[in-house]
Amino acid sequence: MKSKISGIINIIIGGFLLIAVNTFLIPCQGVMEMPCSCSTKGAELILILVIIISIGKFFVNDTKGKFFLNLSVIAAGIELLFIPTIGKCQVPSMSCNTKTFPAIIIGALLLIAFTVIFTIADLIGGRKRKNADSK
Amino acid sequence: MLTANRYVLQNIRHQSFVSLIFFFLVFIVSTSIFGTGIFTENIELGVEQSGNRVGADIIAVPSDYGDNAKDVLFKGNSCTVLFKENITDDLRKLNGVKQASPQLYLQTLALSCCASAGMQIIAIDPETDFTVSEWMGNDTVQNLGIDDIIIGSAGGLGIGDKITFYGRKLKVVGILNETGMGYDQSIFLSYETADLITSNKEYSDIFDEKTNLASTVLIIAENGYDTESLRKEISDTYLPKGVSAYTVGDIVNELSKQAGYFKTFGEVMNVIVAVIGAVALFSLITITFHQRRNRIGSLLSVGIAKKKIAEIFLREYIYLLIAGTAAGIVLVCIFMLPLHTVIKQALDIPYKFIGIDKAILLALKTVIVNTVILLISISLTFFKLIKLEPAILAEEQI
Repeated sequence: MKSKISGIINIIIGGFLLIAVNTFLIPCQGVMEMPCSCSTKGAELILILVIIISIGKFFVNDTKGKFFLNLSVIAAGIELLFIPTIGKCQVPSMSCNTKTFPAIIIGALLLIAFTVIFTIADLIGGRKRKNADSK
Repeated sequence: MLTANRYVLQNIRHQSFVSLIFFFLVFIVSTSIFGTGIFTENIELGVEQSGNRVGADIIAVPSDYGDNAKDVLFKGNSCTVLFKENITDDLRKLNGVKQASPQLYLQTLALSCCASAGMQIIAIDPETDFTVSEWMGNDTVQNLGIDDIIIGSAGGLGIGDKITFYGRKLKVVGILNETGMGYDQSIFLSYETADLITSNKEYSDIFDEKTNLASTVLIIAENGYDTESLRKEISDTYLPKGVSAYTVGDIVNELSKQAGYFKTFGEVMNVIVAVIGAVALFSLITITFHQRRNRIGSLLSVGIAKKKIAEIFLREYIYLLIAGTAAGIVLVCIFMLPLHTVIKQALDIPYKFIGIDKAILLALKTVIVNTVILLISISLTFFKLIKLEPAILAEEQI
């Protein structure tokens, strides 16, 4: 159940960000390709990966499997935090600096925070079940 | 074996809805106290430091653009403002003027693709400057060569990076510490570089190929000289030349007043949230206690001391309090830290991060307020628990 809730939260965050960076939080768009567009494309790929992993959580019942899926989401969240280092525009008031990147960073931090909490809960639950089975 | 700790965790799990409501109430109170605390203290620090470290007593600005020039300095709104003529040398000759340093404000073009405003370029005179050096250190400012720039803390560039403005490739040689003022979003270059831009034929429609232009003159008064009378003298003498003068103290007072409004609003909101939270927690704890009377009776009848039962309930609430407070503080950090620059740009007032140490103190304050709320909410229940007679409870169960 915990794993499913965690999966749903991740899908909501990932899906929301994916829609947002393509609609109301779009990066800068000039005649030439802006450095921030490449970073945003990278972020989109990672977000799609997060959604796929989160869907995968519904079909994995093994504790170890769930643990590794959670670790992948945390790793993806950390990668998202570093997305602006790939390339961003230099003027602080530009769209990517005021909208896109702050949203991606907040989303990444939320993904990491929720996944860490649910991973710990999963581990504690798993240990209790193991103890009960051994008895 | 069922230890006290396990019993507490079981209680939290079995009464998940009540636990969730408790957690949520603590979470809201924490978010409100910590969030508004960080926000208002950032503003207070920004205003306080810009007042202390701008270094000038008086600023002289073009009378037609007085507010724009003040906004560049304190709020970060970009614009191009020009005096009809540079009056810095004249001002230096006035009685009571100890030091005067000109600054030239140039706004880059707005970026139609993605930003409503351009970036603010500020030309400083490295030899006479006393404001930027206050934040940056004299060496970097005085060694500012042609096409060298110092960038504000929110500039998003690193030392050695290059950026092109007004057809010149400028190289970053220094990054200014966070000031909380408009300087954080600005680029600083020397008058030498600015003169090369303003004298360029390409920009003759803006600068008329002139050099030594100025947008504002920052003035330090002689020790003991009345700044208000000096301000009046400058305003009266140079008004025909389109010059207005303001004391920095007056501007800072105005900003302090605005910061005060934010603080009062935050405190009122915190009191309301804390009172509502306390009343809700009090009701929740009292109702839960009444629901658990039978269970308390059973625990008493098997010989568990009242003190132990009280400890079990207290531990349950303390766990939820820790979780709610931590979640509130973490959420505020998750949202406020990445949005720091965005909030700074959106506000019309200096805004500077208070630092990790003060943020930790604020988090401690949040924990203390939550603990006090919990103690107040739980006091009646514990008083009732101490007065409880097992015989009466046994009667109730029959």
